[in-house]
Amino acid sequence: MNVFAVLLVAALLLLPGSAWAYIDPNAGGMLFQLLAPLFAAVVGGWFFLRRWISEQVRRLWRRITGRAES
Amino acid sequence: MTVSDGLRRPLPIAWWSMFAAAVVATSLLWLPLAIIPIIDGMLFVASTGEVLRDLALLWWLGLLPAAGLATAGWVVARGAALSGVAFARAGLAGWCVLLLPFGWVCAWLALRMAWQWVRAVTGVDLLITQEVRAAAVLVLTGTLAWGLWRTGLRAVVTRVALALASRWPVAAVVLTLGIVPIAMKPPSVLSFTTAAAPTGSASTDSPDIFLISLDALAAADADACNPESATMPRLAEFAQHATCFERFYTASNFTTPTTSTMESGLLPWTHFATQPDAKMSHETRGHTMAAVLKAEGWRVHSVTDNLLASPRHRGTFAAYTSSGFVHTTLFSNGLREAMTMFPDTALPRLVATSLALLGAFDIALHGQNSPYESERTYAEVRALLAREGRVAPLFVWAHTLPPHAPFLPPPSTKYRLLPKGELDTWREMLADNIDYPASIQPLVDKHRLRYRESIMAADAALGAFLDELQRLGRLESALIIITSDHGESFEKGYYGHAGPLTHDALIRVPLVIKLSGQTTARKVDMQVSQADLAPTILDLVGAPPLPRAEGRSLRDVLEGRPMAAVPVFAMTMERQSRFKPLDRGRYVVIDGDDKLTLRLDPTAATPAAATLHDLRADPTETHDLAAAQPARVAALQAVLRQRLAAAAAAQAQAQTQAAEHPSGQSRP
Repeated sequence: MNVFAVLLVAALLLLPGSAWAYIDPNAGGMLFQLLAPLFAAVVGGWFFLRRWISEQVRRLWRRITGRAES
Repeated sequence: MTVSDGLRRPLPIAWWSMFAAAVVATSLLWLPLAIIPIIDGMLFVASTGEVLRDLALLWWLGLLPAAGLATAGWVVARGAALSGVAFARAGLAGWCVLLLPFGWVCAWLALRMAWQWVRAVTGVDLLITQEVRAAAVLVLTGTLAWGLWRTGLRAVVTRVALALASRWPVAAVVLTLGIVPIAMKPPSVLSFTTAAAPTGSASTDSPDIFLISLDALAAADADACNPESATMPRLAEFAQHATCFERFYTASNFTTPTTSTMESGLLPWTHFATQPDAKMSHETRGHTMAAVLKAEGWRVHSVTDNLLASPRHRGTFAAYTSSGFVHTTLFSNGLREAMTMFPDTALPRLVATSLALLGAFDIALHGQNSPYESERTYAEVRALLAREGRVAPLFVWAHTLPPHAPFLPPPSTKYRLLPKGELDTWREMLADNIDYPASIQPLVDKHRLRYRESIMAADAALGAFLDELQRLGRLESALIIITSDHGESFEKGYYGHAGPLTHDALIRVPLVIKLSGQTTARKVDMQVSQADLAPTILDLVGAPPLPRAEGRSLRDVLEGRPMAAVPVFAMTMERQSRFKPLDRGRYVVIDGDDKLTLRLDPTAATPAAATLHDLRADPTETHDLAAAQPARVAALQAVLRQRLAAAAAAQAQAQTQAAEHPSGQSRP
């Protein structure tokens, strides 16, 4: 947890001070606001919740098919 | 092999495994993290097909760094194994070479995107210096190293390597799908060797034209029309034999839209080069003075050290005999410029955004030295003159970045205004183009002193170039225009340029025009527009006018005849889509002493808000007269609304034509 807190602080300091700068002038657009959390969810799920998600899918599949756990 | 199985085995030393992992990391993590924040801006100025094509090209280009890092990792691993290092350790070393840079960059981009998202949603912002930013890079690096040490390097690298390498089919599908938009809209490739030949009949008696623009040169700081100018004595001296305009207004507040206006005579609401890395709309790219002059027999050259000021960037390169870049010492510029060989794509921007991290290295490496030198640009022009000789009249547009930030003047002018010990290095400077709190106005004022020292250096280089033209015998007979693309703000809580604001510091710049053979001085107090430049130049050399130009020729006033003043316009439209109704941005009309600014934002409580300033009585624009003079506001707003409506109608017509002729470009 501490690692992520420090990383977040570091990121705050690294970032450009304005959305109007020459680079990334439209950071903050509507599409970005939707895509950024979606991307974070997909990648986060892939890296950190892969096992949990696959287990949930497996349990759901067992429930649908009625097969007992092996 | 599952990940848990893999954790118990040594990592493979196989180039293909490493390449597969690198391709997955590039195409599914690095590039999406870099591109998502700018996707809205891209769709503002390019069609969906063009955006998909450009992204697909970037994804395919991403194979190059992936292959490079995979090769580096493989060489290290093989070399270690051959040197007798245990196979497991050698493999780990190779995969570290591959994955640690990716991990660092992806962590940096992910956290940057997270902060941008928080800022977009909450409106929170921070003011930081480059020095703090450089320290933060070290903090991030140290934290990542500590995290790896705590978790165990081998466990982390093995898990990530296997997870990435096993996803190669996903990356392969993404890359394969990318072929479709590329095939549907293939990019053009700029030849660097073939020069377009002039086609017209202009004789060698026709004057050479030198358009010299100094980036980010505010009129108030240049003081060019004052013979006693402290910052630009050489330009002021030159103006004693030329016409100096005291109220020359740019069309916007940063390079892309303003240089587009300079060469087309069109305002940003028509050419729509309204994003830093936007190109002029397809239907306006042929509407340039370069195209007219080339058709009339001039050899047309652009020489610049600023990518954004290049016709390769604006999409108007086809009209130029040459459009070279001047070398800068910026590490991050090389790749960006190389990508301009695909001049109708957004690849320069996309590559720069993907490698924005390199900017931190540039700041650290340059120390006290600016990456830009005016002298290099003028040296390129001198070389060009030597090559061209006098077989045909020349149009040369030389655009120099100084005095643009970073304000690191050469030793000849540094410390003239601000003593040594403060703002000596790039790292100490504020980041460009930011809002700042009133509490740091003294610090911003010190930046302005360094800025003025940079102007002094740019002026000295300009003077030396004019001397050289004189020595070559090319000064007297030439038409010479010296100006800037936009100004620079050190006030009103905004530092730099670009952004939403339009106060005079950002949009009033010097303009000095010397006619062929002119020896007497003139000073013009009437407001004139950047959109007037192209019509004026074409008129002065007897070339046909640009039919859709929104400016007018200033020939009468240049030749001492009276001219009636007309309203001039400026605008900032970074959040206005090219494909949607004109309802966002700031639009300015200046008529006499009055300046009306109309802010349009359909999401604001007041979708259209106007301010009115009397520039004569209140040059710093501190007293809004809108409430006190509603009739004047209404009259100026009517003028502005009429022009906005005309621009909207032209925009709709252009979209209809684009739908009917998708690849067509207009001709002047």
